[in-house]
Amino acid sequence: MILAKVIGTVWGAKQSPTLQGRRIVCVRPVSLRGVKKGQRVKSDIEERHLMHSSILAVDPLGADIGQLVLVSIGSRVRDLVTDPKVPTKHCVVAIVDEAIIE
Amino acid sequence: MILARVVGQVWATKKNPWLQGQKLLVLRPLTWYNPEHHCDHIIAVDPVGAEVGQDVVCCLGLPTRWELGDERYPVEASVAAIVDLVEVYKSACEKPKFTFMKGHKPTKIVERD
Repeated sequence: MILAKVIGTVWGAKQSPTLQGRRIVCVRPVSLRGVKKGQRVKSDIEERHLMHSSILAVDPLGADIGQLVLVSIGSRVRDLVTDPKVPTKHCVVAIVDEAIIE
Repeated sequence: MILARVVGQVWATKKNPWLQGQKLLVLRPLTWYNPEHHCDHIIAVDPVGAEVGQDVVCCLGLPTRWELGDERYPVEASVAAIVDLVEVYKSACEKPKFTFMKGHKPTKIVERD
């Protein structure tokens, strides 16, 4: 699992029938490089603490834009959180209040 | 399994019901690993009771769910053990070259020839 920040949602009028109606969010993983000791990582995390890459994840919890989430990676996790037929490997499993780096 | 150091803890209220009551730790890997997404940290479920600053053995992938005792846990990383001592034989590290990640070495390490 990784920490990531939701930067947007993805909408598509024409979708694969297996994806129908599922919420897809665009997230950027958090990078711990430069995070100081004792720092509280919350949804107001600065942009320089985010990785440059972004990933799309299926979100059954309904995270808002700007929130910090926990993204689980893997096909088995996808089976358990959503549905085995959903074509993704990334799923949101928790909405993070805060993470303390010590 | 990989070696990692506990650097923090995560709190979340809204989460998958399987994660209810589970301790979530932020780990920084000490050895090279190949995650599906390049990222310098792992969030792992902790059934063992590790604390911040300790070195741990982190289970990745399917064995994580065996370790947690139920294959329905939606996680792919968990703490399997707390490390007391790491013993490294220098002669065995030469070919192929083995090193810990830059700036990250276990706190208790014994290097033997």
